[in-house]
Amino acid sequence: MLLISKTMKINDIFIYSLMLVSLASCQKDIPYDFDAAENKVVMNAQMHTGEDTHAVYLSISTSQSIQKIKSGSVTCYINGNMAAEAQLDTSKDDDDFIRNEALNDYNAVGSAPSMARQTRFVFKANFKPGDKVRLECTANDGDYSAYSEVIVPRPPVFHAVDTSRYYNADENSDFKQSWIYRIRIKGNDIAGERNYFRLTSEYDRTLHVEHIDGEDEPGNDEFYEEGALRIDRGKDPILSDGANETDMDISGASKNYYNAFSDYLFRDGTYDFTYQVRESAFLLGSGYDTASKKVDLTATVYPILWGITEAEYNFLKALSLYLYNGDDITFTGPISIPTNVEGGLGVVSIATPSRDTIVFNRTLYKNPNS
Amino acid sequence: MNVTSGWHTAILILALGISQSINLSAQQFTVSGHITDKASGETLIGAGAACGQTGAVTNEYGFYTLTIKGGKGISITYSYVGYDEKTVVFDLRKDTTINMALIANSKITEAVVSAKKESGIQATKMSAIEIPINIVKATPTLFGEADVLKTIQLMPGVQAGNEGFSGIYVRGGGPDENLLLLDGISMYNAEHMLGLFSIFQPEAVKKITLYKGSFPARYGGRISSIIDIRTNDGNMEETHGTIGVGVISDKFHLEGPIFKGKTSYSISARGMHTILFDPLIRLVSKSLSNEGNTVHGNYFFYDLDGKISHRFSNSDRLFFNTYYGRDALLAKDIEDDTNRYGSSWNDKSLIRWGNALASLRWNHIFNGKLFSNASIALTNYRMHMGYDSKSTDAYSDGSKSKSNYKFNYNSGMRDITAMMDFDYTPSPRHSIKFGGQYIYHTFIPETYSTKQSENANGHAVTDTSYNNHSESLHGHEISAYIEDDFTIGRWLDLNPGIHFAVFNTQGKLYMSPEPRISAKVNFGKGLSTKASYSRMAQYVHLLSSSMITLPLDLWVPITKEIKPVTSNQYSLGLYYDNIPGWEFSIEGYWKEMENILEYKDGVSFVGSSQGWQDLVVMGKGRAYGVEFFIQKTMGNTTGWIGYTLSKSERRFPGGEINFGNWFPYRYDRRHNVSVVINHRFSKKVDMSATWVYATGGTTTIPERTMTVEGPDGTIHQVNYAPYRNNYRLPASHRLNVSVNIHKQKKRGERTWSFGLYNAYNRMNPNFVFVKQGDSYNSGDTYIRRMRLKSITILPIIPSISYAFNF
Repeated sequence: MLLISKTMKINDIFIYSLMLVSLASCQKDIPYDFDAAENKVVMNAQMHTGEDTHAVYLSISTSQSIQKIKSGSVTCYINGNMAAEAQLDTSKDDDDFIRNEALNDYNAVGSAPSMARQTRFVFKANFKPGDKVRLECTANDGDYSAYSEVIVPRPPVFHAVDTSRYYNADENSDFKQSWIYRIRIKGNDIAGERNYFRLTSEYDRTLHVEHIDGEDEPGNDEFYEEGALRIDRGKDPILSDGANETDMDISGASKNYYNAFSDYLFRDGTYDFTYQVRESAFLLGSGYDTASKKVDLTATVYPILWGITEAEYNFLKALSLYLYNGDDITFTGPISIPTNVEGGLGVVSIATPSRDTIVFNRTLYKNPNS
Repeated sequence: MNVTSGWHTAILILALGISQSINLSAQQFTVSGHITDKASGETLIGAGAACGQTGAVTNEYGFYTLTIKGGKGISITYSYVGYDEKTVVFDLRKDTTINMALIANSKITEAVVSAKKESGIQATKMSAIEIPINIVKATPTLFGEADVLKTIQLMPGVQAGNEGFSGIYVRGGGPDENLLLLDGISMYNAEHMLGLFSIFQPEAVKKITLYKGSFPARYGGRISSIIDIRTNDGNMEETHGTIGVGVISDKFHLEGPIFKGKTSYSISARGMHTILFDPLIRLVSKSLSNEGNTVHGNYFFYDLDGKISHRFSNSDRLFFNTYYGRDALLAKDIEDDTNRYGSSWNDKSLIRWGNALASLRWNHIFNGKLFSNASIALTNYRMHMGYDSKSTDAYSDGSKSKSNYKFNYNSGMRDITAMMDFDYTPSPRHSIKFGGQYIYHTFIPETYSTKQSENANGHAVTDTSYNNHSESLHGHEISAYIEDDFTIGRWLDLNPGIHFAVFNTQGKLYMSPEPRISAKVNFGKGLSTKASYSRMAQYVHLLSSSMITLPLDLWVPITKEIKPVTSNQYSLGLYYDNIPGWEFSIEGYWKEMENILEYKDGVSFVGSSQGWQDLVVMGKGRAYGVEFFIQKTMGNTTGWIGYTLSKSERRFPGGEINFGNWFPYRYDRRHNVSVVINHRFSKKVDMSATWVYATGGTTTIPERTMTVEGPDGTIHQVNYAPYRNNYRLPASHRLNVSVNIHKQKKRGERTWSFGLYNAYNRMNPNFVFVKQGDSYNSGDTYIRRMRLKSITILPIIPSISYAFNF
């Protein structure tokens, strides 16, 4: 019998402490009446420098529903000058609006019904750091209008170093010979200002596989793949944004899903943090573990550090907590999602990426235990 | 009132009062001394000494001074509630010291007090209430644990915060705006178990005074209330004590003489049952361990109070008192897995928080008219959260990897205080208090460090440590005050004063002149009216993100950027006490607050590396209301009815919260009613009942659903709340009852107490949250129903406790 399970979180313990003093705590419904809440247009756009095509999503929010707009427009201004009028994009199915940058579990939260109410607009524009970008939208023949302004952040300056590697210690894994790479990111904070960041990572890899005689068709195969890497930040304090990466985590604070962080720990100084990449992620699906005799792996990892705005940082932190807590009761009340759209709702942001490249070459042989 | 002109006026009135003291008759002599309990030697606070229509009351150290005309056959009557009166007749031809010991009786009688008291209807000051400790002990509370702060919650103008918890919200103020003084020394975070219990042990407490409006000039540093708690000095004559066992905690109190009549001690201890059973819990954990796995967890709190009093002479007394209290929550998980080649892990986590206090006070009587108190004190509040994880993974091929992760988070504060107070009483109709104080504050708002190291087969894989380099913040607070209480003619009592404080931190100097004035007009036949103005300043804030007290709540100081909180409060009241044993009052107040702190909209107060200063914003507050209070103080049935009609709002002009508009404070409750009845059936049986009603507070509830786009392009549905505190909760009400059965035994008195908290099982909401209801598509509309749920954690709860007084 376990008195307290290892995975019990401190906030759970608090709740149970309260429950202990209550012999018959109970829940009940109380009146909820916000039906008179005014309908509002919702404008969302996550844009990047370095890309010339940008997407904007519009919908209508009511007290208990999300409605598709009947008509609408989106106009982009850069430094006070009109840069583009967005076009209604009907070229894709609704579900294609998801870009699978990283297959983390939180993706399950985005549900198709709500996305189906989105109307997508696209426009072309090039943003530069320091630009003041304004998006204006209207909906339902002008019944709704809103705007948002964003100052494009500067790109972070950093370089990545492959500092160490070690064997994957999972004994039962078919990938026992595979390594875990630890990628170290170093850089300088932009002095004299508050800076906010987000880390992502992409990769491409090529596998040359030499098959074992008699177990498969003899010969060589080559596999190429590219995609997004899930960030395994371990317990890095910067990537966890100062939160405690333990079971003592409060309200999912360390579930920093988007790896967004501020320069609070290194303001006007240098930063130095690491994340891990599992070699097994490059080998999955290659047949290495069961049929291969020899595998030559060439993997290129692209750490991407984004300069983001304070509004986006606050939004990502709030969204991260929201995704963790959902509608569960917390001591802190409902998570408040900030919006930066005047006259409406939603979040408009522009991020500026910097990227570096690390190449791994490795030759692996068939697992003798398999 | 303009603040500058306000304190000019206060100084003028102060000068008027002082000039009065010069016109004293040369034929007058001063009678002074201490009034004590005969059985214990304990000083009595607020006891009366009366000579005809002239009288005096003892101060917080039991000292009185009475200057009267000399002559033959002078008669002075000494009295105190619950004590037999005693009259002394003597010839007064010079200044005389009379120390009077009164004998406690079993009747509740009203004391004959001709002088003005510090609190209550008789005082010049308004909005000051004295709460007898026997009322605290009798008031039925959760689990039968007598609670000082929960009794204070029953006073008009005081809100309880979350239903059933100990938070104190006075006249629209926040929980950090109350100056909690234990024997004159300030304390922080006075709550245990997330606020279900307060840290003060009634057995150690002698007197409680609540000031909520017209603040005496000697107090400063908080804007909403002063809760002045005085502890027992200890019995100078005999050893006595109490042993108690309750549903939650055990308690023990002992006091007695070290040197009879000279030196006494008083010690009190209280702890949750779980602290006593911890060794047993460990033993059980170990015996239940499964294949080398041992898990152990516990939560407990405890309080230790100690006091030593020494009487050097009639003129000099020394007091040393200490308090130490802690809450602790700990968990251990240890596994030594010999079946897996020697793999093991050892995880320990701990949260510990609490106060420590030590103070040394010296009372000196210069002469019958001048009394002084000098104090030095140390107050320390600490919160520590630690996690230490060590693990070794071993494999069949002999390879091993080790990892170690440590996380430490600390916050807290320390005050070193030196203070000097003087009471000068030139005549019974005139008293002056003056003094000064220096506090050296050290704040550690949030310090954390992380260390991570990994080692594979003897090779270091990683060895990283980080801390947030949070430096301690220091503040120097120097203050001086003078207050003058005097009577002009038969009708007018005045109490002007000024408290002047200087706070220096981070190279910035804040100066706060704080004028205070109270006036009382006596219409005769027990009818009077009072008016007051108080300006207060506060140099610390409590940043709380929750609806209950969490150890993670952050005490933070003012800084270069964060200014002191200030308030201006105006009060007006009407009072009547011409019916013996009854008191009636109506008070109205208007309070304006500046520079109050709140978290900005949309910031993450957890999981954010941003410093607290980046997350908060300064704004304004205003609160106003009317309080009705009817109290019965004598007879077998005593109690009171309190009703408050009030409103409290906040505004943050920068627009960071609610677009800069006014919004209701979290505990803005329009109506608040408390009814308290204590009835003594006989010497053996008494009962108490309290009934409280409060309009629901406000909370933030999502009013709509909307979509947002994640940076990876994923669309999420989220709930959206348009502004802070947009929903008013249902009203709360509750009846608590208790019955005490006493029996005199050979060695003392045994008391069984039976209580029922929330007797009719009202489901008052403690927490409210939104639950998703049905969701479906209807044409171009996605319907997503929301439901609102409330959680009640304190339904009907019976209690039983046992106490033995010896």
